[in-house]
Amino acid sequence: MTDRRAYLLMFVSVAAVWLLAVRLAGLPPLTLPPPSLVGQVLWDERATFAESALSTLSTALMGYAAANVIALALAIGALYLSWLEAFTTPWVVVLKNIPFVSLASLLIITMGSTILPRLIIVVLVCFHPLLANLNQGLKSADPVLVDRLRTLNGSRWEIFRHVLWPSALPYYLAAHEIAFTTSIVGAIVAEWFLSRQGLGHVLVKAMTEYRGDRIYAATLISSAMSFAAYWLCRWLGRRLTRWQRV
Amino acid sequence: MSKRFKAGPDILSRIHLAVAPGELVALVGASGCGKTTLLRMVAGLESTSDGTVEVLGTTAAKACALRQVGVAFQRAALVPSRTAVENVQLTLTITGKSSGHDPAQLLREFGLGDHLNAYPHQLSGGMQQRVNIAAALVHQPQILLLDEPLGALDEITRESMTEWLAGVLGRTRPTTLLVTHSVEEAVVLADRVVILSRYPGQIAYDLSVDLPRPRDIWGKPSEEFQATVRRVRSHLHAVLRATGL
Repeated sequence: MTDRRAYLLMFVSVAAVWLLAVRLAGLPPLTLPPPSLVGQVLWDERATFAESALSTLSTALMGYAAANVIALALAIGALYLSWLEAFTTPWVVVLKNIPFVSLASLLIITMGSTILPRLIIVVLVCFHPLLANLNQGLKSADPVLVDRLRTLNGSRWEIFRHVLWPSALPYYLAAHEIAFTTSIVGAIVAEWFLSRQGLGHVLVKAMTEYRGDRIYAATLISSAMSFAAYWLCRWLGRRLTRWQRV
Repeated sequence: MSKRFKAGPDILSRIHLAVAPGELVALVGASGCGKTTLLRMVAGLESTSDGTVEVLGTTAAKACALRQVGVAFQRAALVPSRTAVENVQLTLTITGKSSGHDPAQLLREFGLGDHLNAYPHQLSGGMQQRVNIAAALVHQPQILLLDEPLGALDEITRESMTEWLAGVLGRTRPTTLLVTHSVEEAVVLADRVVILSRYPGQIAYDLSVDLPRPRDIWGKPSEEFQATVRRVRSHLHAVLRATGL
């Protein structure tokens, strides 16, 4: 089965299960709304949803960019400063294993409802796969190839550019498929705790008002955003590593 | 010179070896005798523990800085995301030499004219090794170091590649140090065969190979060729017996 057919089957199945659940469960429309009601609220409140989605996306992109800068700096720095990886590994492991919901609570107390704690949460949730894959990719470089360039008096930059980076690239691109989508989830969770805007805030507000249609609408938008992010990374990754499939 | 790793015993001990310009010296010996370590020291990839390695009248590291050394390892050192011709071009990019061979022309001469734009994973082991050797020769180095370049190939490919390599080295004549496990390969290609003992690695025999070129071994090897192979092999066996193998 091709990728496209598999995804089509999945979307059709989800729609069918949803319709069936609405018919069989007998729950009130605001608890389990039919797709038509969700479509209606999406249309009626399109300006609010668009503004919220844009806010979530901008938080996710800023945090994601910061996570990339930090991961690249640490992974590349560790190549040339042997102590750097040993020094940062405990920090990375501890931060990775602290439930980020607890961290979010701590950040609210210390920083208040500003953009900074939201960005920190996004960085924390998407930084680890980027760093782990970059480290793995850079270490997977062929040592014989490195030796070849050393015998040609290749500089550190030339060895990095021609050997280490091309080795790391497929790993780095694979990490984006996870990290970019996770950054959107991270942004929503951060908004849930810390913001008066964004899809996370829409979800909190809809829950307190028992508006199942809005919850479903926000969920659909955030899922579409994550899905688009995943496909963008996948498409870019396939373009940049086209040689692997020749 | 000698070589030991950390506080361990000598891997190579009291090695005195001089290679004349344009000469091809083959290093043979049992696994672990330090052949590759010796070659890596000449390439500037390992330091000596005692003594010095002099290449082109200077240290090995400085000789690399002159971009006059070409190295082909047993495993083809090719960038997977670059085509055959781009991999050969990489040597010129790194060395900054524009006076070398034309990479595409060199690959055509090496019988890879139809595979210039193939990626390494699309090439057979023999083809990859040709690209590897082309990448080591494209900048016309004065020194060529070959670390079992045919060691990973099957018997048939290896035979044809040995003949091909003899032709290439006969035309280009760089000063060459060849590490090999194959006595026949050493006798076909080399002007001298140096046999290393082990624990520690020392030069046990330094045998000259005074045979006319080209040396045909796969078709109808001459009596002289066979006698030379027997001579090298008997010395090698004597060294192996002396080290308990």
